[in-house]
Amino acid sequence: MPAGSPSAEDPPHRRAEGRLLPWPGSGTRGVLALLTGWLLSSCDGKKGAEAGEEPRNLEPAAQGKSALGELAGQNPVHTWQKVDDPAADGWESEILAEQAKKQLGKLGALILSGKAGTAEDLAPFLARGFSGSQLVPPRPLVVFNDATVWVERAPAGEKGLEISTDFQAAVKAAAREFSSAQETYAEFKVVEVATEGDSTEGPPAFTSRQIVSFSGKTGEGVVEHHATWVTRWSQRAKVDADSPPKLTSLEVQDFERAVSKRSWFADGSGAVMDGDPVYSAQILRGMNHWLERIPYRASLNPMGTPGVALGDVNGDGLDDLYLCQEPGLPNRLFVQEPDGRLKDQSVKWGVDWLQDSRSALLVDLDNDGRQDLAVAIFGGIVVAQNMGSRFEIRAVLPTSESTTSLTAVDYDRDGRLDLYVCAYDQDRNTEADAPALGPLGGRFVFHDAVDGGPNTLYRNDISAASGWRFTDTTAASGLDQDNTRWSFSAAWDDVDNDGDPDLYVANDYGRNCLYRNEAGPGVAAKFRNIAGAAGAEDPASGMSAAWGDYDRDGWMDLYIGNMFSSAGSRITRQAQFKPHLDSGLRRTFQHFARGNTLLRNLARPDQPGFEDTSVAAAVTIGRWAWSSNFVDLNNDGWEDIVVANGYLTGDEDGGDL
Amino acid sequence: MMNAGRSFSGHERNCAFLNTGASSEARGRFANVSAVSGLHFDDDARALAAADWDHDGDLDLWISNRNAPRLRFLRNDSPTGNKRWIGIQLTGNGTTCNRDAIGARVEVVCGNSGATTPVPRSVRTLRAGDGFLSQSSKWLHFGLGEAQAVKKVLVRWPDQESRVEEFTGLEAGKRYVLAQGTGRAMQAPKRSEVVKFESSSPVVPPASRVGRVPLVTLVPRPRMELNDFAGQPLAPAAGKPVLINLWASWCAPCLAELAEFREHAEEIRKAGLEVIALSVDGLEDDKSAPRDAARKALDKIAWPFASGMATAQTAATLQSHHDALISLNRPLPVPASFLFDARGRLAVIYKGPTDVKTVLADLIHAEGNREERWVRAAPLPGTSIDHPAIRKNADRIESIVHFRNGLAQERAKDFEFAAYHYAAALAHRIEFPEAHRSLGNLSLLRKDWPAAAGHYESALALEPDDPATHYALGDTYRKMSQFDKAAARYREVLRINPQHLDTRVKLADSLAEAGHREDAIAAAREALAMARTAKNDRLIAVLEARLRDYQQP
Repeated sequence: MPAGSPSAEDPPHRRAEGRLLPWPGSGTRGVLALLTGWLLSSCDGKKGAEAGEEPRNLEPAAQGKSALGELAGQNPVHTWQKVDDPAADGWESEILAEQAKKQLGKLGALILSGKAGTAEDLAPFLARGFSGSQLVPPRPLVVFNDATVWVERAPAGEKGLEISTDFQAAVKAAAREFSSAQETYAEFKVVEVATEGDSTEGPPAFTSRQIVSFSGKTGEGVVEHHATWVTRWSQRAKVDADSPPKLTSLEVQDFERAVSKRSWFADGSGAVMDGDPVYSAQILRGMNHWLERIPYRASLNPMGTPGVALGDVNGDGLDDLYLCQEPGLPNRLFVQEPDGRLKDQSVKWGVDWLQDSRSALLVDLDNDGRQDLAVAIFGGIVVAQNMGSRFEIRAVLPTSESTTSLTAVDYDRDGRLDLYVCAYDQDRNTEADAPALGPLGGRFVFHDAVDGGPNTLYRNDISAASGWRFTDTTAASGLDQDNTRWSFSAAWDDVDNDGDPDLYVANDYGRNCLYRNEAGPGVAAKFRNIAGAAGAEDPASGMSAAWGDYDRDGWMDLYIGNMFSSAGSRITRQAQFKPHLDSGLRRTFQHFARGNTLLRNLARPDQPGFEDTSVAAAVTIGRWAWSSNFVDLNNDGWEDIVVANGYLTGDEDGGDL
Repeated sequence: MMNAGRSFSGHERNCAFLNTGASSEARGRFANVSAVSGLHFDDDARALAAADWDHDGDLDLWISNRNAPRLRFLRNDSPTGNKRWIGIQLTGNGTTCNRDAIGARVEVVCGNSGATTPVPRSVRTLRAGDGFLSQSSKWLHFGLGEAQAVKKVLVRWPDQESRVEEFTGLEAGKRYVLAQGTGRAMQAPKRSEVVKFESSSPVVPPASRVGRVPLVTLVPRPRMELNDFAGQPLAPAAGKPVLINLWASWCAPCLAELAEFREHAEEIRKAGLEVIALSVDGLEDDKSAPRDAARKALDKIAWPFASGMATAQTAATLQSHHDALISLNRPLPVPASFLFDARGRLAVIYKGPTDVKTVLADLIHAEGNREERWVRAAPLPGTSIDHPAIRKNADRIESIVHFRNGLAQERAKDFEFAAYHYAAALAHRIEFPEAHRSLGNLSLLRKDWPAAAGHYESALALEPDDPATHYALGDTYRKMSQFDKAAARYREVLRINPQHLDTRVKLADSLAEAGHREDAIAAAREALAMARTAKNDRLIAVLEARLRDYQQP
């Protein structure tokens, strides 16, 4: 903000919004567009031209893009766009889901209010002849109990009560725990809706299945309940009907309750940062603030790419933090003070770069004992040498433009750390007006896209003789196979315990890659993608990859961040979803919506393989997940999981997947 | 949606899942501890890095976000009870093994005798980068549960030998540095002080739409309606900078801003700046202000500069320029001002009120090179890396900005300005087939067939497999009566997309026009067969008529 600029309140521009200066796309999108935003591929009306229309005279500038676009869209390789497009069918179920969610939301609020229970309170929710189960099991089984947390679950097979008066008791029992709770929160994610045939007697009905969560701070500590509610509703309301549906039955499954005396983590952001002016000037302002003020845009910018790297730049034994920032905002090197606080030293160290940065690493590239800096920016990797109190740029390695995660490993085990950077989209001159992420290229296939940007492996050839040299060995190492799949993240580990590093790459819009390093005695590092044979493709919207031995057998397992979508889950489970698809592809689409994936390493040294344990382990619902990683939160030696998630929070609410 | 600043899967809460591996009753199912963990912020979270930041024996977390706060420090305060831990940092020899020992496998073996079999192992790999955009600490942290003693630590170094080195004599609750080849664990010094961690949720300042946006890519002032109150066109003097201010009579900050301009009228004149105040009163169906309120308001302050009413065209043009240059495409607020330099290029956009001092200081913004403007445009001070590879990337971005402006102008039917921008997109010698193609389209509109053909040919030289360009070029050649060349283009379309019946008809037509009657008949028959397969009655009729035409002598 320049000096003298007013910090006054916003002008009364809102009066003018919407009529004075309309802008394209400002209209409300239909509910269908919102829910199908999950299947981003072709919601914006790109339809192939009807084959065999009367020949037209094409006046490109006049009919312009659309006519030319139609031509491109008609290529047979593009027909997957039609498969990917759920907008072709009618989705009454979406309206039902919305109604169910609304009703349950009210019921949830009643429960959290702690004063639920009268027949009148419940009347709006219950149909005649309602039967339900207990919301909170009366005799839970303690499944985990240590100093940090108490976890209990419903014993398998416990069935509930059958008449509505007991439902009052059930609601009361559930409400009791939250009667004086603070910071309460309830959430219902409707993951399945099924309509019942109109031919059955009585009013039309539907069933829904939802993931239910309650939490709050009570006298006992922090409490959370999680369960699946299977509900049957009395009435299948018309699209425009006002009267909400009522419950005819409710069955609670997979109930789980966790209690801890206090929250494990405390927000110490202010304590470690508010002494530095950068905190209020930069850290406390979100992307939307900057996006309104920065005259620049490239792919991935609006999404936000605040990469974080920890490492000790000044050799004082304390980790420091490098924060990547989007174009026009300076990256920050926060050096840790002896007392744990952060001090911005990006100017002093010469790394307050304004370039469009995505991810960074603090690693010793020249083996001199100092942590050097590598930053993946738009179209390259900036490599800077640590000179003791300052970084000096030694190279800018060209890469595909839309870089994402950066990793380092010594893949050829020559004693020098090499760099591998992921790329998302291919270099494009134009951006499509996409509803969300924007990959609307002509050959784009939502469920198995192969038209992303290439990832790059740079071999470290630094030597006293040649200086800071890096060589692109992507092709020579075999990593050019399946290398254009919209990659967000990569992680190296030894999948087969043979001593050399293997690579897992998480890709959006389809299959992930597991590159096995086939180096051996006298054989140079060479990679082969074995994801298919190893059961590690996990076709979904891969956002992050992490290795960890969660079952403690000495073999590294995988946790992959994806997108959980209740809308996608609902749609793909219905008969009218792509009726022409074979069951395998249908399962693929369902898998896309399932969420995060846990793959257990089968401990086969000769033929690496994985078992998908995600559902049994109950770790799929990470929402719109980004960094998802193993962290032992409670020091018991067992790797827990943390999921950083959420896509875009704006001023106005849009679709919630 | 993203460009409009709306939510999409927003307000989602972070998740935490507890590994219940120690409990047989849990049957391998993790427990959802999102709330209990205290990590369930509803931020748009991105990166996640773990470290025992305060050296108190548990893993703390750094999480970065898209929205504010961009960075959170989350201190692990969990009541771990009797559970032990150990922290390990590795040092490779720096010759056969990388100094950071990235890729090393470390196993901590505890002496928990009498434990169940098989004893759960504690194995970690040291990595540089995982998750999404994240690098965690190179200090490996091992929770040891209630194990009493550490028997040994095994390190498999990431070099050609992959040799496992054993370290002994380590104690739980301490931090050690293990150097390759020494076999000895050195205890790291204890930190002397740690800040008092008051837990506090960051207070994010309220959103503000007031902002000054100096531009990096300069675009010429588009043709737009600038009318005085009588509806007569205003003509800003050539060679002088101009500030166009949009305001409304009902907008208090607007009036305050205009008053400030008036107060400094002399300074503004001296600086050679022209100011044009355009009222948006009454635009479209706005009836909130009386018809002459704007003129009266200006009269009241004796407004010394040009003024008039904004038209819908003026407003839409300024909005579309804003949207083409700035990521977040929200409707402009009022007041809003646009500063054009003496050469008529848009230099700075002010959203909300600005002031004379700022505007006058900005008169130099358009001077200087792109790098300087880039640094000046940054809302917070920073350094731009000066490197050929980065300049090349900036060229690409600028070409893309021009192309986007070209599309916007084309949509607004200002074809001359559109052509300017498409040409500018090609100025950096970036491969930009789309710009060539767009120039071809504009030439076609002007019925300048040879120019159109030239642009399409340039586009195809860069993107030989674009069926749409082949198609357009085929049409262009037909306009130029170059029927053989047209047929060749249509054949290219069909090579790429054999199903395109439309093109098949045109191919037949162009062959007929070129006088290759037999070929035309053959092409039409082929098309007819495909039309029949496609059961397209309309096209079948068209093609049958064509065939009759061709077969006539």
